[in-house]
Amino acid sequence: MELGYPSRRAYYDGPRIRETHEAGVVNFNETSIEKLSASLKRKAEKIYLLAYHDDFLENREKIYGILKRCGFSGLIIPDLLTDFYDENEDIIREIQGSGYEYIPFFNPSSPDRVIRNVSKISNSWVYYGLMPSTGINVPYSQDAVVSRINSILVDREINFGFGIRSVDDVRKLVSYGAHGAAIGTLLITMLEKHDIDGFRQFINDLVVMRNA
Amino acid sequence: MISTQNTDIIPENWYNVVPDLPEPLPPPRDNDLHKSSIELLNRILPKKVIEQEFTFRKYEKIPDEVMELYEQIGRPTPLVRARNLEKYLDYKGKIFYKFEGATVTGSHKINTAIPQAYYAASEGIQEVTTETGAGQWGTATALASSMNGMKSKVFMVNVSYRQKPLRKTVMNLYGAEVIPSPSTITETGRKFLSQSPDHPGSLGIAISEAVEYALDNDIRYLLGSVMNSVITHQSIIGLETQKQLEIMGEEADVLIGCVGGGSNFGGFIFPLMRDGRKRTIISSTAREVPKFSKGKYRYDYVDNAGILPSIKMYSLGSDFVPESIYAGGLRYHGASPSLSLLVKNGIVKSEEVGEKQVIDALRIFANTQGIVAAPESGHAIASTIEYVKSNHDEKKTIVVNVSGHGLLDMSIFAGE
Repeated sequence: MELGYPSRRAYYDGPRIRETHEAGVVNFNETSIEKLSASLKRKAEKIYLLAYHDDFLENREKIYGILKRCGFSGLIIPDLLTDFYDENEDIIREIQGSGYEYIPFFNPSSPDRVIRNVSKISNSWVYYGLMPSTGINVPYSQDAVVSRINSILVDREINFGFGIRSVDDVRKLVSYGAHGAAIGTLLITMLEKHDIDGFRQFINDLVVMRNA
Repeated sequence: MISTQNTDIIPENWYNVVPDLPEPLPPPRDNDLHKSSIELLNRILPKKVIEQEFTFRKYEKIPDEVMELYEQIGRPTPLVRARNLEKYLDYKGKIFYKFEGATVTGSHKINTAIPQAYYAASEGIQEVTTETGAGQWGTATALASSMNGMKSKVFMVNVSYRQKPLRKTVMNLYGAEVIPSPSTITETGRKFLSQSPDHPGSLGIAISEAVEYALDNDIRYLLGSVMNSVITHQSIIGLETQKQLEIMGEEADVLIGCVGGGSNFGGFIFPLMRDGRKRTIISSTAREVPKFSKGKYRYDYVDNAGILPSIKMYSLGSDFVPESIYAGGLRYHGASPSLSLLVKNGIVKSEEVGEKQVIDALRIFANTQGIVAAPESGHAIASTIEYVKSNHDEKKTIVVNVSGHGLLDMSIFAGE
């Protein structure tokens, strides 16, 4: 499970998730993140915090405090390897040196050598964005995308996100060799429409698929 | 066989540099919190072009239909040793030029116009639109559209429209409707005309108008430069050059080209950089548009109205309105993200060249090699001459990309 640290610079999130960031920035307090993470921990073995680079640097102590108090396993910084590439080694070492997993975030524009190099210095699973931004839809071949990253990172757990629209999308990704899928926009849209039954059904379908 | 051209030199695949870059290419960003301009691309670009824009694949197969059209428009273009220029400069090394002016439209622009038009026509599209600065891209779009059975509408930067009536005639001959930009047929155009009825226009404004027109009329927009997919198509220049050098038993030590949006330059150098060999690479820009020296490496708008997603590039600002310079193709405020990244990392050097130096270089090239090169390409030739003068005792092999001919730009020699 992944929880986002509210940001005004959620550049790699699409319109839906950006709106949730916008609301999060206004309403954020540490108590709410503690409550949310406690709730998530009852459902998930591990929980991860996603924070954009500038928010992480500006709120370093606060974020490490949240990671510790709330029992997060690690941190995802979606813009680190694109807009702040020069800083990646120092930040990865710092996060891992503090006892947390650093989750590398790659996308189809990540060069092969960058994927190899960053994966060598990080020790966790890998997050691979299928699209340039969450929730948007541009044409691509799921099969080819998954094969590509699997061929570069053999024996590494890879979870996919961005633009996953249905249980069928997840099923296909898994059939191509994905270990997991991150779903955000789809669920947020259901919640906005108060489609709680649809939400439950979707989660149920995922569980059935996982257990099959 | 349909001609005696050595078509074996045309590659079977285009090359996409993105997976081979030294660091990740910052992806495009939405300009508006509440809507996605990235997703908007689905409404204006052919699907295959979007796929190629975001692909991780290093090689993209050139469709047979595109290959056939490449032959029809004069590919492969020649790679020629410039012996007379070497003699003129008393250079002990070698100078080669790749001559993209040998295509039927007279520039490299047709290399991407053909596949984009082909992909649009394959989707059943009847009409395409685009912008043009100097007129070379508009000319290429006009012909590529006709060859693929489509109509085309070209928004031409007003100052070029006035200065280059023959360009308009050629585009009309190829079947395009040409409209001076800013125009009265789009909201963007009307806004700029209300500020200044005699507005000279800029490529950024013309892009906004073409995109707006494509959205309003549910047709497709063809990309002239800057974007990854365009540079992938233009890689045919460098891939051919590499084969031609191999045939001649040569290896390039120095690569030189001119930069407007960066497509001819990227298409030329990227395939040649694949071997990892250390070489000098020089991008030549107009002194009046100092994007690499005075511009900032930052996210900026591609077009003035901010309809398209922002991209990270060296930019002078999308509101930059350049002087009405002699080389209209170099007036764009930014440069492609992949090229910008290599300039930022110092892998590609940048050089600025002024008008007098360019005209002198064009004259020298015409006198020695018989080619009247385009003013844009004149920058690359000027940088080549400058390189030779500064490194006279070296014995290097220089390859310069001459991106187009200048037979429709003779007015720059008026008063000489």
